[in-house]
Amino acid sequence: MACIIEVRDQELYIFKGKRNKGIMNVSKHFRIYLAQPLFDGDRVIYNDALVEQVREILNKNGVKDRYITLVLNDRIALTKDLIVPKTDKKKLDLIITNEMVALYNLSREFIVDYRVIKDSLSKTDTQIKVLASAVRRNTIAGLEMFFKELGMKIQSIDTAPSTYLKFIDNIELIESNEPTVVVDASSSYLRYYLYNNKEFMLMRTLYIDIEDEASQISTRAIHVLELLAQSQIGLTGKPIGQIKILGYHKRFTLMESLIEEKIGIVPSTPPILALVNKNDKDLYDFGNSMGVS
Amino acid sequence: MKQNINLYKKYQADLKKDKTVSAQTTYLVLLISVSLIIGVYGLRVAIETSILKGEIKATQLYLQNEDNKRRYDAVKKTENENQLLGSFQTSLKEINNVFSEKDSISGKVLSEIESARPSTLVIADMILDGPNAIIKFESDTAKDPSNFVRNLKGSDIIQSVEYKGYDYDATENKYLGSLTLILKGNF
Repeated sequence: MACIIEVRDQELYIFKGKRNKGIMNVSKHFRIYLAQPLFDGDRVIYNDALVEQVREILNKNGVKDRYITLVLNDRIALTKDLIVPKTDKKKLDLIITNEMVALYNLSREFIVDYRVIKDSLSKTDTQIKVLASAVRRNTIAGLEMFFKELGMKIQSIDTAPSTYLKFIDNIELIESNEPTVVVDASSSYLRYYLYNNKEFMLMRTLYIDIEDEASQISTRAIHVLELLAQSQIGLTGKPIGQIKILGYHKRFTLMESLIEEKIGIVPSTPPILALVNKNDKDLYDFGNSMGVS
Repeated sequence: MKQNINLYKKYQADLKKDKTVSAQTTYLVLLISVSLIIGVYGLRVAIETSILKGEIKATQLYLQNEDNKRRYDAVKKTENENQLLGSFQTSLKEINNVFSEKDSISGKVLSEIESARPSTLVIADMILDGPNAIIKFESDTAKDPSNFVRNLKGSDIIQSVEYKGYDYDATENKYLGSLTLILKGNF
């Protein structure tokens, strides 16, 4: 059973589980709130105190895995959906890297990778939709060092939006063809995934700082949603029909009331626990990790 | 269709590529350095060869120049003349040595002349003039003058013998003649 660690700015989400016949068998899931942020700009901080703190909690929870999969869920990882020409893998690599470099003004210091989220459906369709992510080399090198100190070897590094899209697909969350927004309302960010005709359209992220006031967060959360709604109308001419809330379960009530009041849609919380072998509301916040399994 | 993002795999591939590029760069630098060294050495050899060829050509032109040939012949002629003059000088020095040392006649000269003289040949007169000795003689037989000259030529102290033959005096029934001896330096 693979050990997946979701890396946030000041939290590590440890998840061990495996999907089998549509049911997620979770053996371990817990958070480690770090004594200090893991990232300083693009640099990974790995001092003895931080390593010891993580080691202690991992040992306490019986995690002794040698190989791990990381899911980056922080500003250090840049992620963007792109529409690119359908071509061979080598050219596609180059095109996507160039697109990301141009879009974010990246230097050669960045590593870029992608996955196809919508292949061309017909021979006449010459374009594909991909999700591309970019991270600095020294960030990856820093993470490699940090987990090496813990006796762990990284097998792969994915990014949160990529795994969350997989999670949404795996649990078949989008049932309707009408425009739907899935909100991953976590403790340190709000991420919105817009779907139309069961196809992923676009994604926006709102990071929440620990010092941000609640009223500010509410205003910005609704503002992003309004922008998404306007964008959706511009693209398809149809208003948003459904909003689904996932993420940190303690935010659900606030978000539901806020969306109902400001947007006029009653959001729903999908019953994902029915697809998991454990009845723990905390698992709502492990969507990024569950997308890997 | 690519289904997963794996930034770590890309990172490792990039590291490997960088190492490969680094090794390739090292080889390239090494290759360029060796090529430069060979190139510089080759250029130096080419320049030196070119200079030598130029010098050879200039020398050939110098040697083939008619004016130079004439000068060379003139020099050669002068050299031969110098050699001749040198031999003259040596001879003169030798003669001068003889002259400077010939202030007396060695008794060995007389004894040599005497031992060369056949018994029937009589020396009528002898004039000593420096290294020359002019001897007038008479004999009863015709073969005595020849024997006398042959004996003198065999002597160690005589450089050369000038002999122009003899005359027969019918009234006296004698053979008369003269010869000139040139003595060697020390005599």
